[in-house]
Amino acid sequence: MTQDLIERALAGDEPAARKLHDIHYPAVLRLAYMLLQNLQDAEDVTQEAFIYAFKNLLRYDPERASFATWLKVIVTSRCRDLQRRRRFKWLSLQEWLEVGRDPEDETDEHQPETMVELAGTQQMVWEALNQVPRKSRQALILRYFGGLSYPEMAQALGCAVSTAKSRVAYGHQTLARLLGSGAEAALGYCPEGTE
Amino acid sequence: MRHPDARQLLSYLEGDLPPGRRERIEAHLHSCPACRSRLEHLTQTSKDLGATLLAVRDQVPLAPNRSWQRIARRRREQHLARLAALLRLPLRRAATLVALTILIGGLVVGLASLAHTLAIAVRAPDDITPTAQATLPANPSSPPGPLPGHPGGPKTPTALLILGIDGESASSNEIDMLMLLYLDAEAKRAFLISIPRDLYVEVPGHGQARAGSVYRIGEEDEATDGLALARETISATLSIPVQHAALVRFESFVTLVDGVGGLDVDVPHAIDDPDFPDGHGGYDLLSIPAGQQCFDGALALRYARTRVEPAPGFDRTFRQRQLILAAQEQVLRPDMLPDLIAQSPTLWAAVAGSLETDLSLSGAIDLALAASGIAAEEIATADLGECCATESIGAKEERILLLQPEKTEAVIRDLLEEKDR
Repeated sequence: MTQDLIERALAGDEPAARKLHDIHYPAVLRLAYMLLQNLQDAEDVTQEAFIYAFKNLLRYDPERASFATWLKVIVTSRCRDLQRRRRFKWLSLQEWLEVGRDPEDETDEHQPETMVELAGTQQMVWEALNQVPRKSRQALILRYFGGLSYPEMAQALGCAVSTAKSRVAYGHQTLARLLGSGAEAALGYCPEGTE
Repeated sequence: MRHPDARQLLSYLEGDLPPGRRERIEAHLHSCPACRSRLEHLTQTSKDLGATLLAVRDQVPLAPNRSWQRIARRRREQHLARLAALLRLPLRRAATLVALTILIGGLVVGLASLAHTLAIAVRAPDDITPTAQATLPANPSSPPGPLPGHPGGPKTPTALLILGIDGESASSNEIDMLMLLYLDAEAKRAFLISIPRDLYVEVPGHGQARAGSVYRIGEEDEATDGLALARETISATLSIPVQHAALVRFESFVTLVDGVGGLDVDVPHAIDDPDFPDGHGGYDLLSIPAGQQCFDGALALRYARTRVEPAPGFDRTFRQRQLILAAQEQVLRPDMLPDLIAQSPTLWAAVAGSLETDLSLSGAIDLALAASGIAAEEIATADLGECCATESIGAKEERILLLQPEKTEAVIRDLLEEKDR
């Protein structure tokens, strides 16, 4: 079905292109929203992602990933572009030299919109997630919402597969700490040499 | 062994470990309650995280239509930019191309809209009385010839079948108007044959049917394409090779006329039509004073549709030709170009959104280039319903028209040979 639509879209069939958009739009917009937490930005990025996808439809290889995953990888890297553009305003030497942790991870202009209303555990988890440093937060979202594999995440985040994994693990540790599930468990590591 | 770190624990949870390591961690977990508790927490957090994100997901407002419209607009802009780059034309030339593309789109849509009211629409130019003819613009814009540095459109004659569907019957696929546009760029000749929708034609593979139903028949049969079937049918009926077909839905006419800033028309006689249908089964008085007028899209459409004939020769056919000429003049005005470029995405959307065609954009441009060498008033016209058909009653007791082959052949031969005139 999707492959058929892709081929028709490639042949210049506009209704087929629209159908492709309509099918995949919700997942793409939602992922963008999770990653950016700003609806306006998410909509902009979603459109950029689709425009890029349609322009590069020939490059899509169904053997490598599903179309949905391909779109998710594209939209994630667009989100990173947007954040990078924004960050240029706040460029610091430390960040530029990639010394230490991403300063934005601490300061982060990231101010989640108050659009989302949750209750109970979910509210706590959501608030905790928003305090996780950006890179790890995005890794968690791609993993637990986007359903991407680590190699796909690596591609989307522009990092090594092992880094993608580390970010998810680090994200988990931070979440555990924030959710107060016991210091020992939360820290996630044990003293050296305790065989 | 050492306590597994967070990453190893995660890999263990996700079943992503080589067998040896997996067993070692399993053994450790068996003997270390602290790590078991960590694993439990990890499992629980993963679950909570998934559920939370799902709940958040449902709160993201979706606007697929707005999204698609923005994407489609950007894509059209990119397309036009690519087109200009592709042709390696200076901007000014590219602008001309855009204008010409819109012109042919407008011409096609315009012709269809104007002519659709009944299948009569177009008559031979000789039918226009001398008095009426005098009110036509004396020199209706001298359209530019083929652009230098561009092949300049097809060298061989091209025939385009134009099908029109009225806005009100938009949901159905019954055609209200059929026309064949024949363009010979080299000989600078063109003619337009109006084909009545009630004409009985032989549809390849589907027996006999009304010409107006061929598109629907083709769409209903999964094995065929409505546009292609109509093209083949008309091609066989008239013994003329028909290369392309375009289906136009009429609502775009209004947008197009508004997009070019309205049309300047010299109305020779005042029009008062108390019986103009309001589209809801009632009447809507149409009153247009004589003299120079600027029509917006809606009024232009009504000007073309009204059936009144205030003076001999000042009939629908005349008014429709007048509007086509006005449209052509308007689009080719040099001061219109910057405006047209700015508006081209909207105009293109108006055309593309209600146009179904097997013509590619470059094909449309070729056709536009071919048509640009031919003044609209030089386009010869014929109406098959008037010249070459007899009335009859069909199998379902409906009114049908039967084509008279000899007369048809003679008329088409005349039109084809007119280029040598």
